[in-house]
Amino acid sequence: MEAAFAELPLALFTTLAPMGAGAFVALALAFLTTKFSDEQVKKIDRMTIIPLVVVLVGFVASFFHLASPMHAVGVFAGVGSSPLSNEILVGSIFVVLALVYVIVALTGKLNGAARKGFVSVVALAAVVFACFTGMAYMMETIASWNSPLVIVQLLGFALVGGMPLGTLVLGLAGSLTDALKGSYKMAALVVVVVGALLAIVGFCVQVIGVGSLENALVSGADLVADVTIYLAVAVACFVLAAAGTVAALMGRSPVGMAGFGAVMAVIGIFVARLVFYAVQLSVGLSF
Amino acid sequence: MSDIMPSLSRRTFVKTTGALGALAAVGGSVAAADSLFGAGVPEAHAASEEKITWGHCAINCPGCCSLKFHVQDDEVVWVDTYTSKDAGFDDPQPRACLRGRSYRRWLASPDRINYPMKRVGKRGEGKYEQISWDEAIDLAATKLKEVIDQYGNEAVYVPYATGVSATTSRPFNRFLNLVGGYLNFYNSYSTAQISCITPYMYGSKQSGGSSFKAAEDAKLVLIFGSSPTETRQGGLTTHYDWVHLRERTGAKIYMIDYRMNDSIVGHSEQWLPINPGTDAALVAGIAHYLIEHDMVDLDFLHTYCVGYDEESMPEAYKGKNMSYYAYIMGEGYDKVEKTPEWAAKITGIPAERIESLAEEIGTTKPLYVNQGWGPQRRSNGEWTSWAIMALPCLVGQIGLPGTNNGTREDRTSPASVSMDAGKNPVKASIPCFLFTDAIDHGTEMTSKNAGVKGVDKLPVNIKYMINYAGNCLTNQHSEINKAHDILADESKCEFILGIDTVMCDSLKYSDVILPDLFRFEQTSQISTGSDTGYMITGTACTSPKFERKTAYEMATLMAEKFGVADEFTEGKTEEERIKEQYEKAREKSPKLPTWDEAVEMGVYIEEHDPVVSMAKFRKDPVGSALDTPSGKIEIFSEKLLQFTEGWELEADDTLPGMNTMPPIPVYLPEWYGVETTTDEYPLALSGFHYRGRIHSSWGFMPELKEVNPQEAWINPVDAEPRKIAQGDKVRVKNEFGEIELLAKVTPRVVPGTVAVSQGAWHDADMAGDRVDKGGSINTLTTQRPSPLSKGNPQHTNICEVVKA
Amino acid sequence: MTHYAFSFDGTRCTGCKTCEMACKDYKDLDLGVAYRKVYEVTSGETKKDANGCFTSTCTSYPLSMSCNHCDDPACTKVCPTGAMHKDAETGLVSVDADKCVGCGYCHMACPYNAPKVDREKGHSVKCDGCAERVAAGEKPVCVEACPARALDFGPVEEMSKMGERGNIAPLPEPTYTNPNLYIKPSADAKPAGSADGKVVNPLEVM
Repeated sequence: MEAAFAELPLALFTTLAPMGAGAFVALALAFLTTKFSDEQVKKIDRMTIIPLVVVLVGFVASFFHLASPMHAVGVFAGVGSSPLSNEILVGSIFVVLALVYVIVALTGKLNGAARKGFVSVVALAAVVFACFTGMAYMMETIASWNSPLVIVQLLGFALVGGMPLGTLVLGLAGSLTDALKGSYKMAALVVVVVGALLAIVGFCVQVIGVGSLENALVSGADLVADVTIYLAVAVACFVLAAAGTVAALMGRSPVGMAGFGAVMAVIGIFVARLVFYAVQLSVGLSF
Repeated sequence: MSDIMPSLSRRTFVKTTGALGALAAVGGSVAAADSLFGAGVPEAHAASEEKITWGHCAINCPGCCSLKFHVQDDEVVWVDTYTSKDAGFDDPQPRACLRGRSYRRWLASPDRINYPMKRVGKRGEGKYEQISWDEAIDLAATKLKEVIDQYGNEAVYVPYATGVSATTSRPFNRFLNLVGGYLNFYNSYSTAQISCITPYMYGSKQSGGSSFKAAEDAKLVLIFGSSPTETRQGGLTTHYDWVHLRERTGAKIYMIDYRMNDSIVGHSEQWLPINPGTDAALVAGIAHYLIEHDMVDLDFLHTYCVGYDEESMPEAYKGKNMSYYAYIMGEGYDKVEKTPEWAAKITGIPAERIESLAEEIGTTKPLYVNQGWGPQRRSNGEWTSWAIMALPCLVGQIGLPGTNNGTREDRTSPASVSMDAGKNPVKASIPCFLFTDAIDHGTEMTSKNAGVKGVDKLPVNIKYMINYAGNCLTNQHSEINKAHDILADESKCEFILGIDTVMCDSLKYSDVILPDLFRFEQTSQISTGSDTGYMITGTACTSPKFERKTAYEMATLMAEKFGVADEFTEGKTEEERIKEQYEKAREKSPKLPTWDEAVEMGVYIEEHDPVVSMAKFRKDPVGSALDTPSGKIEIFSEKLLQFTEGWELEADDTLPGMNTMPPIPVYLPEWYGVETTTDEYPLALSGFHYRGRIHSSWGFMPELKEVNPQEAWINPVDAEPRKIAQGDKVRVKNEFGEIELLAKVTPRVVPGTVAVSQGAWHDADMAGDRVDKGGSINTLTTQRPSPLSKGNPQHTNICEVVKA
Repeated sequence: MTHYAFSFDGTRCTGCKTCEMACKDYKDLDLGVAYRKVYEVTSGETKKDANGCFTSTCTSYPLSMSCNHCDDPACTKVCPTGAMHKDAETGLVSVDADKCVGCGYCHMACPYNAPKVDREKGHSVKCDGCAERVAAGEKPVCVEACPARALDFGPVEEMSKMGERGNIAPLPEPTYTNPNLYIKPSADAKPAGSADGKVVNPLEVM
């Protein structure tokens, strides 16, 4: 786990960026299911800066991972071949879309169908971005990561983190009550529960599977034994994140509960990401 | 969380610790430009022309490998060696080892000594201040005059040192001989026991071993306690010769060692694990089998040897059951029959294995028996090495193609002549290992209790020492804590002049320190080799930096103060001497190139035929008789028996009931050995040579230490009950001290014995707990000498290991 | 176009690390970075029976390895900038320091522990096969340094005659990247991917 802390910037990036992105899924659901007043929309748009900032903080953190951030512009050279380039490309597209969306929305010029369309595109980009973040870790030579479950868990993290965060945005904008009157409640509930399941199953099955792997340096069983307690912490956090969100959706101190869910999600995803780096196991010699 | 995945924690070094790490690294690299220690003045290497010079490694290893310096702007940019891309396996190339390839770091080390210095703290503290050359030489010479006037030249000593091997490496001895001389030493820390015992058995003129190349003709090769690759690393020394032999010979090879050493990695079938210090018991068990199965070569033993059985005993000792046969068959000495079962209990080698090995020895010819210097560096080392030498005699495998006389492999080298050190007017000589005794209570040392030679007893204690390129005052001596106490007392040895390139532990006891130049920072020549001979002629790679001087210049400055400079130099510079010596060598060996050619080629290689030990004697035992008293091989040595009569011995020095040392190669249990461990110290502890150092040389270099960590090898059988895991920090301790180092938990060492490589730099708070964090085994070794040679028994130790 | 490969003779290597230190000097590498490393693979037991006698199944062997300049390098595949690239003419894999962003993906992906991010230098570093020496008709400095002549380097066609492709532990199956390392195994050597083939000196090879 000590080694995993060396990946702190990456762990922060892969925690914050997908979770912030996931919040746009919640917002899209809200706009698709609820007719908000102009005043509410204005407030929601202002509060949407929160998930946007979460995403941007994640991206900034990722720069601290790089030895030469000045060369970062070159990372698109590998698009198509390098899963990392692909991730960054998709991530950048998402960020640009999200930024433009928020800016345009804040100018008050995004109405009706246009808003629904735009926010849906942003939400779709968010989902794709989360999947590509998982794909970036799938390498044939890292046996412990080379699994579609990595995509599944990253998607799960985006949803189980994004739903409470998005719900919090609605709550802080004083619009949640209205949203809960419609089908947002059920849609959000389904998404957050599915997200939690994807996160828990994807993460646990992948990590436990490492236990059967071995290379010339370490045995996967030792790695798994070392991280078991953290795995349990992460799972508990996901459950609590989903529970908090569900409570908020049920109207029980919605802002507080959504906030609680979001905090649990941050902790859970972050711990899960550290565990993920701690169970890196090459097919050969890689430290 | 830090206990998780500790073995992988260094990954943090290059993996992400954030951009802050890079900033910190930049800020930390500002160095003082003109300190007491440090590298040459750094200059840009921008596109200036590259110069190439040759040089040789000059540290106590017969490799003395070639160094090819690439130099720009008077700074070495990298160090190559004599090599070529197309060299085949058989092409002789004295390629430098990993240490030779690291010389640039030592040359430019921040720890390099730049100026003369005088001590300002206590001895051993390492506190010094810069002084002028005038002041330094004045202090050293004035004190030398005082000591000679007050105590006589017997109070002056030049301790054993291994830092410089070259043809002009003893200038201080030459200088001292011009001012009345100095107390001599004999022995070395390398070979005290075997060098002492071999002449008793084989004499001194024909006793050399067969070369490794000769073993290509053998059918069975037995190596006792040697690691040719670790002890002599390099491309044309025994490292290469061993690898070459193994590939070229059809012989079966057995390496008898308590450790699966680096010379047999990849070839574990060659390892025959044995308890350390018990080789003589193994030989006795084999001898018993050979006798029982009528496999001894009686013709050989009766024609060429003395003392095997009654028939071949000297007249005066017949009928007393004092022969080797009587010892083996339980008829004499301890009256114990040396059956394979007896030997199995002691050696740890199963009786059946001893029998099958004996069967192979008895039936396989030629047999090449060889021993390293590990088995002899023990409390029973004289007898262990003697027993190993007796083994080939039992089966007549001496002096024939493919055989060896049981000593270490022969080495050949081109002719060379060293600087004449003059004649020492002082006759007294001590075993080098007893110099701390000679400082502490030299006047109590006699020929009967301390191996004093030349005089019956020492007239005076050592009062003045010139320690040139040596780390044997503490680090490579024994019982460092005791050595510290003796040396730190300024009333005992009153003055120590130290000369070196970096501040090793021994140098910290100097009163004045002079900054040395490497031999490749001056003209220097060396002649060496093993299967193949070679000579390296080197010139200065760079100009002298700071105020460093050559040892020859230093000794000349000392001579000036005594008014003997002209006698010292004879009007010659060191380079002129080297050239003159070389011309003398060319007179002996006209095929040598001219000096100019030698400088130009840097490396001169001379192919030599395989050397078969004692071939002349085998052919003509009368005409080419040995220079032993009998002219024969003495398996029984009357001379030894008589020499040790009246000696002051401890009870456990010899066999029970004897008041001399045994006159035949018996097994003597060690005082601190596998048979004499205690409840408090239940494990045996032995040293070995490590690839990252030659003795203590290079022991300070971070780049070498990083990939050659100081470790205690411990078998899982011993580690598990102590809850010690691979990589754990452990303490190894005994009655003499305590060291701290990492555990290497490995099946490559036998259960019951811990192995710690010798030469790590001692690093302890000598005013505090004295725990040696450097892990020098000599914190744990005894100053009690082996009984006959009075040599260093540094592999004979017992200890306990605990998790730190 | 000549693609190059290393060969390693496991029957000769004694694990002395001269190759590693010669490289470190020539390439002026600091602490913490080595382009060539020597792995110790040890297995089995040495035990003492009830009679105090030893039985040993211990095997141990060294493996000296740098970058294997693979036919299908894992490092170039994941590199986002193209800084890590395989030279079309020589097949040597190296880092373009001006492009490298220092993300460390090459380090993670390589199953031979070859590339590493040097944060002070700001980019990945690794063995480049001494490309400039090879271009000048010489061999890599490690090869010419080996006292035991256990290393060689040359056209793939020549090296492939000297042994099997990357087939001993602690190496992974060669099929992942097709390494250009041809090995003559010692008697002790375990096959690639063998559970017995553990690296026991991790501190020395990171």
